[in-house]
Amino acid sequence: MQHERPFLRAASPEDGLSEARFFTGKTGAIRNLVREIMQHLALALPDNPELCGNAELVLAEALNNIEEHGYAGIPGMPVQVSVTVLGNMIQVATRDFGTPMPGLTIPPIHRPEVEVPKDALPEGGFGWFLIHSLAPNPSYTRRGNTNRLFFKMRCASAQAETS
Amino acid sequence: MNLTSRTHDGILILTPDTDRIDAAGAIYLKDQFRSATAGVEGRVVMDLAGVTFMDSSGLGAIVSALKLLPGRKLELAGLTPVVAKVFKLTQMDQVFRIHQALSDVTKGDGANAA
Repeated sequence: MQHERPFLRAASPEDGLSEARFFTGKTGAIRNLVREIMQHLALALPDNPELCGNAELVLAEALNNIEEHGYAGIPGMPVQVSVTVLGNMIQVATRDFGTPMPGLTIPPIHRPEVEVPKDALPEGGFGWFLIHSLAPNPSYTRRGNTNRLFFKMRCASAQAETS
Repeated sequence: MNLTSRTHDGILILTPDTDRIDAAGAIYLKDQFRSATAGVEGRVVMDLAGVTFMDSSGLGAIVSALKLLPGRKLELAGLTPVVAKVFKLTQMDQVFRIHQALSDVTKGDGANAA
């Protein structure tokens, strides 16, 4: 599949909106997209590198998950992403055409056990745990043949300031 | 992704030549680590000061590297904020010996686990 250049749009500075759409092209497409979105977010939120870092992790984990599980590891399948900045909050929405999430639900919060012998240490299973940790209450809906994920992120410090 | 290696006072220091250890690069790390540490008996430190992003796939690769070192811990130095957060949230910071900076290791008393 042709690797389409991500569409990124910066709206007026007042709403700080940024948006992206893309289709994965090949291995490394996710990395390139995340990188490009992060350049955009760094401009939109120059004083909030921690929140941007959280968003980078959530984006990467969500997109990897779509490619690895929704699309069974086949690169080059379509995913749409939109990223919105609202004040000190970042919203990420994704849409893909992969297989539904098992049980039509997001995996529950589970941190793999690390107090185990070295050879038994987990090498995976942390992706959704990180998402839950950084973007509480992620949402998932299956509509027609599409999966939609939605994440909201705030910085712990930004939350403290506004409460 | 490549791991460059050098030895300092008998300590093997490995440095990834990338700023990201993510799903696209993780698969190479274990193989690189295996060949870099083959036959090495002493301490092994991975200098992560230049790595600004690591996801759960990258973490998995570092854990798989740890398992290639029988009887000792893999030491990590210079964790940047996002990398440190991944280790802390997953509690993997308890599994590795973590140094603030590589200079803490090369100065001799590298025992100040973060």
